[in-house]
Amino acid sequence: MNEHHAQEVHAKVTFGFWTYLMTDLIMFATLVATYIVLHNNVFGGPGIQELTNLPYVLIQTLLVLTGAFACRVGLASFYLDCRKKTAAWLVISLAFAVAFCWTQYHQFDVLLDMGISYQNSGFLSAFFTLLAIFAVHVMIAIFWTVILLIQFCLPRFAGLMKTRLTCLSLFWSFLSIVWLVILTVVYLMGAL
Amino acid sequence: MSEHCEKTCGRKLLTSYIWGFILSVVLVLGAYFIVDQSLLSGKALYVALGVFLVLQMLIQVLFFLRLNMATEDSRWNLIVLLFTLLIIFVVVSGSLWIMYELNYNMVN
Repeated sequence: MNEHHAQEVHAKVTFGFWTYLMTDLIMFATLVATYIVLHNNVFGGPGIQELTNLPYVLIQTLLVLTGAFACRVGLASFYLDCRKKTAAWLVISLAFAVAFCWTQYHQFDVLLDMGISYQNSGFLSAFFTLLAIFAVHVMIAIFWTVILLIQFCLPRFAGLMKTRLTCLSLFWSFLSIVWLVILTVVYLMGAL
Repeated sequence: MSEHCEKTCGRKLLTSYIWGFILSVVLVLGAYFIVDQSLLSGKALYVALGVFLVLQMLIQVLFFLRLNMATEDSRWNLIVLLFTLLIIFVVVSGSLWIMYELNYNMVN
């Protein structure tokens, strides 16, 4: 009975979290639509061709995909009852998330140093907004992973870890889907 | 997404994630190669990149999220996803349509 109840709570929580992710997806869709509408309004400043550094973007993509994969493998090891491996994979996923945030910070830093800021044109406002909001989501994943790693060491959270890990890996999948859309629409379609 | 998961189920998940990851990286490299080498241009490029993106989404849904119609939980997740895609389609295509028409009418 207790086992059944726990399963029911797990199903409810993951469904609720999934529904939240879908609303977040709609927000990103509107941001991408805004970007598409504004991407030609460069106001004499640089366009996306001048800002795109394809190898850099490829590295960012691989960081996001590998971070999501590491979190997923952590979940699978949890099902296989290898708690230590789960924690190790979460740490790996955390490292990739931090690396991604650093690359994003570095990109903004370089652009701002060149005097290219979000205030220059409609295109740059949309560009900075979209990427910054994505980076904020990755930061949330970082904090979340750190908190999960702490809870992992405390026995009183043992019964809740399955649900929390599942939600975190759903969040990572969401992040990689959004990043792939940004990669395609902003960088790859804009590079030519 | 997961039912009562035993060890065999964990292994199945792991295999599925590894395949999903490999396919996803291959697709990213493919799309990158097309753009980097300027293999296509104009409309063909947009269509090709669109196809790559749709394939990526399918990989995410099938290999990572593992959505299907078979189990009750997964079915509802899939229905919410499909409804969200409908809303996104209306919002994005509607916004783009209105904005481009507006642009056109302002210029002409």
